[in-house]
Amino acid sequence: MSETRTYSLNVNGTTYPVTADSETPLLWVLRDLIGLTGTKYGCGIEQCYACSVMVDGQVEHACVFDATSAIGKKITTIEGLSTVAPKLQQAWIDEQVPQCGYCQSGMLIAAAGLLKEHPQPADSDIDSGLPNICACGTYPRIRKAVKRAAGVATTSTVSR
Amino acid sequence: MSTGIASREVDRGTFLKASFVGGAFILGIDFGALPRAAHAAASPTQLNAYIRIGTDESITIVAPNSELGQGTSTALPMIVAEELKADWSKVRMELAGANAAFANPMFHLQLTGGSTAVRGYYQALRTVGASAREMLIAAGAAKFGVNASDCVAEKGAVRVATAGLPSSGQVATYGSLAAAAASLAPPANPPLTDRKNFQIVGTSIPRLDIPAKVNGSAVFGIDVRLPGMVYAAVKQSPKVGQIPGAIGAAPRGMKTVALPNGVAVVATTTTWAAIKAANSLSVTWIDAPSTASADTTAMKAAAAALMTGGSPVRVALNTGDAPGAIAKAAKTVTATYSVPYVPHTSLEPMNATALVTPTSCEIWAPTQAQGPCVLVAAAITGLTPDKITLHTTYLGGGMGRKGETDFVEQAVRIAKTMPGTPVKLTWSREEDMTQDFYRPASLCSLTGSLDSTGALTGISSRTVSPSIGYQKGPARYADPTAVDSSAVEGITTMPYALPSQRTEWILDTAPVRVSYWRSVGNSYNVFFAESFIDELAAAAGKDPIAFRRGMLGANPRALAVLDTLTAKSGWAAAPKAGHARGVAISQCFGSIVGEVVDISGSLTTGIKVNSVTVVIDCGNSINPDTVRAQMESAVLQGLGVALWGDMPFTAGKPMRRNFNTYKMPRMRDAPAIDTTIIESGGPLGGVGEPGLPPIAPALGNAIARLTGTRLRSLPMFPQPVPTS
Repeated sequence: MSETRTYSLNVNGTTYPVTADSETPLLWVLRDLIGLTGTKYGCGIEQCYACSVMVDGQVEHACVFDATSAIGKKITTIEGLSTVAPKLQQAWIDEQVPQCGYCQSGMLIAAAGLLKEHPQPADSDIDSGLPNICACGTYPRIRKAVKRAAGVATTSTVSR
Repeated sequence: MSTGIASREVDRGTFLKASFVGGAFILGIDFGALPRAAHAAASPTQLNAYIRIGTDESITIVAPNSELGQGTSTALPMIVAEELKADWSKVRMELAGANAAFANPMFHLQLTGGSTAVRGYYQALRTVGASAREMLIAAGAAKFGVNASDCVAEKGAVRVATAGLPSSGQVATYGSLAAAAASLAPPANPPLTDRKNFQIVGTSIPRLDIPAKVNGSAVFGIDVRLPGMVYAAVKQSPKVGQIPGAIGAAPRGMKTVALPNGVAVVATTTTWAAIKAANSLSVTWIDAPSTASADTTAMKAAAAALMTGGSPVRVALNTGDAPGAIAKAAKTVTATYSVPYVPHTSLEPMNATALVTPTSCEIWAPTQAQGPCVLVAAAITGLTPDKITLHTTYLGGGMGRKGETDFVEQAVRIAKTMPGTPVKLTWSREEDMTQDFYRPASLCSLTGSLDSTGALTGISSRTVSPSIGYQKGPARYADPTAVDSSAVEGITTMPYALPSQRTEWILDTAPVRVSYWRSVGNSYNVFFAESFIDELAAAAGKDPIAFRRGMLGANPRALAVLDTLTAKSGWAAAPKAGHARGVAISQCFGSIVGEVVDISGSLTTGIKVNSVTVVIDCGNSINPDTVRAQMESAVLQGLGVALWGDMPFTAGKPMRRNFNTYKMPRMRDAPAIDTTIIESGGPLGGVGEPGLPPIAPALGNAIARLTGTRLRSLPMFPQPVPTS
């Protein structure tokens, strides 16, 4: 049986007080209670990864992540990504990646996680490290942008 | 303070009105949707600020179209800025809310669809920009005491260009001229810039919406937050056509609102709480007479029966003597193709926010259909359309689905029960997938005739399919000759000169809701047509490109696309060992696109799509990089749906509810994509949709060459159907 609980979360270096049903996933605490809407809802079952955030440097899927288990940890959302991975967002702009843009918050967070693990990612690392869904099909440009941010030479996948 | 003067018709159907408000030269616009008499009375803000030139040099241009990723919120301002001779670095974009003045000149409705943004607004936007430019030049000339003809506009300033005048070479910025320009009458028929002198249009300018889309600040419909807002979710009929009967109680602190096809639950805390409560809400459902017939197996059998015995047989196209050509043929080829219902799967689920009071209704929505949404909201609230305000947010994809108004209608219905309280309605992914208006299923049988030289003498085809047009307005189809052109487009519009063609269509009244899906009928009819052309080429013993080429003599643009595609794809050289290529070409939305796909693998181990070569002739591109992006997007979406996309129904129930059972392309599935744009100078064509149709047949044609197996039914690799 769920209950209302009051706690605080550290998001992008700021402490936010939260009063919520204890079962509320981190995604909805961020979006509806804290008001950081950059993290998106796409499926609610950890399939599309539009809700990706970092918790203590680990990529997590906020739609199924228990918010209370993030107490005392450092949460990074798209709104705070520039302090963690400043080159990524610029690479996304340089390669003109987003179309509708809805998946890109999760993509960028996932890419930050990927580069942490593979600073010089091979194509196979990008394939497995970025499983997020982009319904617009921006994948070829994402691949280029990740490599650009990592300073890896690109084998051109897009004629630009 | 406004110093507005009477509006002026500056071009056929385009009205402008100038004013100076809040430190800016404001040019209000109407693309001809308002009654003529309304212009004289309208204030500039009623006509709506279209261009705003601030004394601080900022230039704000409204994008009248919805931005769902296709890039028109940059392309449309580029057209204005080109004629305005603006300094692009000073240009800002605003998304237009609902306003009749912003109706697309092509169809007099504010609606985003049919790849019409640039085509529809291009001429009007050029005129608007040119009018503002001429007003600024006139203001500059007055300031410097010279004639307007002595001045030029460039990079956001007016310069005295004629030599030998006291003020020669002097420059006044647009900001400094804003107040004076606003007091002038917009000129009629302002001169337009020759295309060869374009400096903004035709260049790959970075999109204006992208910075906000990489830092989380872009506001999509689902992100709207208002003071005192509550959160709603819906539970809609689990089976096709059902309506709610008895509705159980909402959890404590929440309430239910009955809707025509379901129930909404409203929570004060979070969307998650509302979705959870809606999921567990007890509702008894009442079947429609047709509910059980929404069953994939039954619907396939019904379509097959219609194919042989259905009536009326409606004739969409009948040129030459196709039956005669078959009778005289040296060889005939007959094949039957089919496609399933397909969901739209935009990643942002349906949502809308509404605030209703006794005298007003304000809506925030990711909609492709501002005009229709206002009419729906007016009908529900009983308010007149002028009391409805609609703010268009960014759309997290739309693919046509957000051109329907059902989700906006629901938000307004819910908000009407709690006047003064803003309500954000968000559908769960499960609701989004199962309450779609799907791409129509279609069954198509084709017969082609070849003469003794292997030349194609005719194509006869019969299609059985549900109809978007019929579902939206059945009355027209009482006429036994009425045809929904979208049911056969792509077949009737093949780029080839065929000596004869007969295209028949039989309406299928299956109960599944259908609607527009990226490139509409072309998205599957080109799969039928271009796969079949390859079958005919094989029967004629000819190379697929050579066979097509021989039929394009009268279509030089399509021929140029095919020839460029031949060169860019390296078609003349043999593919790598273990690889095969397939080609397809189509013309729709005023553009011609050809694609060659290179694949490897096998039907048992899986097909790997290695690369796709795309060539498009869209007349001219506004922003070439956006055109390339749309080709990449169309290829990826088309591939996913060709490989895996379907919505199966079992006893009335749509069976795929989320991405765990509906397979979408991911990074590992994405081929390299190389796009070439032919700047032919032909009439402007659309860009958002035309890249999609060729990919499925190109893939099927490659698979046929690689494996010897012709796949005539989509999806090519059906995914397991969930059992519950």
